Amino acid sequence: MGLIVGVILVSAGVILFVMMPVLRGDWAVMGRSDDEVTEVDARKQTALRGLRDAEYDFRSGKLDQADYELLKSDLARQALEAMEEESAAGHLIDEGAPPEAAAKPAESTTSEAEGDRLEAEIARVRKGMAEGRTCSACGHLNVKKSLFCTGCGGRLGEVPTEARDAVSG
Amino acid sequence: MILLGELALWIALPVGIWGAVAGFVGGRKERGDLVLSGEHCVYAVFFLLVLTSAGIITAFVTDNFEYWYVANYSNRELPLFYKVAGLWAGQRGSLVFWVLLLSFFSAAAVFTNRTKNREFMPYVVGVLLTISSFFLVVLLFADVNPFERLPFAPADGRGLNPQLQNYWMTIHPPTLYLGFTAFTIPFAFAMSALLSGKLDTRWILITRRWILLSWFFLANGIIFGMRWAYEMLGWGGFWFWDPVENASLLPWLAATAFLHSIQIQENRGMLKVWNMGLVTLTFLLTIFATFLTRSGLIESVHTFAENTKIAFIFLAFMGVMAGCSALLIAWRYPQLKSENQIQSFLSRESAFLFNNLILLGAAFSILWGTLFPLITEGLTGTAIAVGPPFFNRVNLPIGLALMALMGIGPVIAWRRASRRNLVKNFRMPVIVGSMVVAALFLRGVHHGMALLTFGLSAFVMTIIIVEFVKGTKARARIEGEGHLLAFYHLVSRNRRRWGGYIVHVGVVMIFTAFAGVAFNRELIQTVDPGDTITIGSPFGHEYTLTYQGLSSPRGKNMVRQAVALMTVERNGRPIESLTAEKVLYVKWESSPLTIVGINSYILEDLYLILENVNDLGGAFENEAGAQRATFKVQVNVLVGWIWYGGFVVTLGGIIAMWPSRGSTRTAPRTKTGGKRPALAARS
Amino acid sequence: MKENGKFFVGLGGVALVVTYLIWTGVSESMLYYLTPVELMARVEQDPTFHQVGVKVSGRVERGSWSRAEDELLHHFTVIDLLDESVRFPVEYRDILPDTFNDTENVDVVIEGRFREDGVFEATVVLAKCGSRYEATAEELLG
Repeated sequence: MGLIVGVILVSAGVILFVMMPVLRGDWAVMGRSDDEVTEVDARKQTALRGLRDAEYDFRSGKLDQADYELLKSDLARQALEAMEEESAAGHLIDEGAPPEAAAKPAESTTSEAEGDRLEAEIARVRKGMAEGRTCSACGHLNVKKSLFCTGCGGRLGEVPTEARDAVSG
Repeated sequence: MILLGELALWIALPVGIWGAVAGFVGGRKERGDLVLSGEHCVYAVFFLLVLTSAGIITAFVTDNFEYWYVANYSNRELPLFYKVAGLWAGQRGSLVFWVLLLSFFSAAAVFTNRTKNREFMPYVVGVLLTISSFFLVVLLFADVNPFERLPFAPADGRGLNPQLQNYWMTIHPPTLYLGFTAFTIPFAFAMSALLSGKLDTRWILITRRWILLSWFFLANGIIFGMRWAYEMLGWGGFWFWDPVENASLLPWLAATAFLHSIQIQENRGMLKVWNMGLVTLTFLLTIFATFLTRSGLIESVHTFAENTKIAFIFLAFMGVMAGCSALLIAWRYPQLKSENQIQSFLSRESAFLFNNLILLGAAFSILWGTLFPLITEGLTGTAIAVGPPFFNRVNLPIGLALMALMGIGPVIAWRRASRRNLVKNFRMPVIVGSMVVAALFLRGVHHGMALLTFGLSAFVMTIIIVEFVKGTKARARIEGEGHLLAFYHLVSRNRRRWGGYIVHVGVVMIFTAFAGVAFNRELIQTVDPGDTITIGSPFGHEYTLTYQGLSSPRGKNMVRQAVALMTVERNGRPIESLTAEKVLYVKWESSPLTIVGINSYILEDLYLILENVNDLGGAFENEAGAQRATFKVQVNVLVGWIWYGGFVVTLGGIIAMWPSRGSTRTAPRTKTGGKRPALAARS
Repeated sequence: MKENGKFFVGLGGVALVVTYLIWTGVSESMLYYLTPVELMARVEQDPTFHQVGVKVSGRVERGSWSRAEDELLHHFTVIDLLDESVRFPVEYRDILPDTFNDTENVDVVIEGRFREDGVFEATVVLAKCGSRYEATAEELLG
């Protein structure tokens, strides 16, 4: 007897649980929500991560100065492109999204937190280059207004022209 | 409870099939209600399989020998521990256990993605439930139902094979199965990416942690298996290139390759087709391993008639899965174009590609060697087997090449590396490696391959240590942090990279341990109480073992035990003594089980086997005259480094998998998408 | 492209080396995997077969095992799984696996050389009490 009751309970419960969404018309979310990784986002992250890796590789002596500059400008361009695309796309999604999705507050997730941190890091490096604090010979980031690099002793502010072109181009 | 478990298995099948259909149709037609129903099916199947497993375990614990499966793998006196483990002791229970784990991971995947990555979920649900349903069909219709009843209830079961009555039995198979089943999740996401056309890198980003998890369990499962073999079955060996062992190694090799090649796709947008192929291959190999370990297809080439049905069902399933995946890849081929090209031959992506090719070469050679008897029998009528020499010969150079790559990889930058920097970075490690080789050679190590292995391992270790030091220094300089903090941040900010390096250290330790086998020593001697056996270690000292005689206690589920005691001296100084046993288990009176004694030291193990007791019957009765026995004593060099390496691999794996800070979502979320939208909005 | 060219040469090289290793590995370590009946037929046909390493799967004849006193030398007889009249003696000098015995129907796979004197000199013995792993209903009754 107990068995029969148990079986009926289990099967009825399972069937009800499984079929309820169809019967009641509950819908699962099908589209992406606005806070998760998008394809553009992934590209941006990749580029930023690439920049960080490149800087690390350069500083630990795996990359030549020239290669580093080339890679850096290339990656920075990719990252910027992705960021621009993202802000453009973000606009579109905001308009098209269902009200409840749009109503959700913008929140910080792993990817964004990491992205922010990376962006900050990249910005700092770029600023350093612009201010002439990053040594062009060894890549060491010096204290403001230094005249000579504490990393290699070379004179600061002598960015090789081809590297400068690569960065700005 | 048992009957409920059996019925739950029957209910699970229609639920699984409905869920799979609902997932696919819901995804295609964008019917959110069907998708939600499919997701509920995933939870329901998991729940039902918990009931089924509970039913089987209940049958074991309550000694219900009316069930064929219980009667074959248990007996009344079996300790509770092993009765519970009876769930995976045999083929039938293992299949249930497999679906149980798969449905658990499926439920976990659906649950963690209930508010994100929604575009993928319909097809993920479809694929996962298709696979679960396949296993349920096998369980119910391929003569392997664990609830099959005998026409009568035997008074007692036949007992669990004594070789399985070891604590590793409760650890090793579940770990491997966790690894096998966890890999189904990345496969399902990959297929979903193909089906839904979301072919960017997201499916990899989503499943990265799953891939690591699966890899982690596979690696640990394999190492546990080696440890089990070393303690129980191996007479001091740990790997025998036995088909079942090979089958567990194959998915690990493919998963390792995949783990590296996805990084190329993440970083460079290349190899999209390759990764799709590799995820399918790895998944198929987990299925292959699952059925090979329990079907006995290979070992008994001439007597395999008993299990052909299930073997063919599985082969057909693998064929269908491979076909579907290939068709999907072909269909989406235009969208899977590479975004970039290899910029330089000297780049990390190129090193990773070589690593992929070499790992797959190893996997192929092992698969080929394992299936060789079947292939040759099919082609020529005469089976030809290849033994351990084949596997060693092929995989030794492959292993060395992989070691070299583990050293080269970290030093080469992504995209391009300059030759001059390479030379500079390699100088010190090469010098260290050569110095190690020279020092060992002068100390009398003249085994070429072993020297090469030790040299390479010193080379790789140096590179990795230098990497850590340089990384810490660079970070300390960039961020102006103290070195300790910089080191912590270095690892915690890029866990996958640095955790990966730690895993490499573990793997190198394990490879180094393999080379130690070349220096093992062994000795066989028959002794009476009071006699001594002396064996030298390759490190120069000498062990003297004095035989103290046999005693005969009785343990649980054992008929009799004969325990031989040896006191041990090292260069004349007494150290920990050793025991070795012969045990007769209840229900297995005709084959005594040999239990070895191991004393482990950092660089070597002293390993004692009680080969034979002249008068075992007399020894069991504690007769004074029945004490003469034959022993095999071994000094196994460096074997402990396999297990130490295993710990390091585990540590590195955990670091790589550890969730990053801030990954927990804090915002409130809506549970479902709400009600069906108005028709106008959908059209 | 130059870099791609270099690259494919490298990959092709690796593939070739692996193929070479497999090829030579197979030809150096291959063993015929036979039943006792097939082994007897082979040897009759071609006496040089005595020199070749073979792997044979058969069954241990009940009551045939003996062990030389104080010596690690085991003798037993292997019979064909289907034709029990085909048998040959085996010599083995190492530790036998725990699953080996001569009181039940134990299936063995032995590796070694079938000597001219009709004795099989085994270097590897694997045993599996096939019938013990999964019993039929009748066996459980007994």
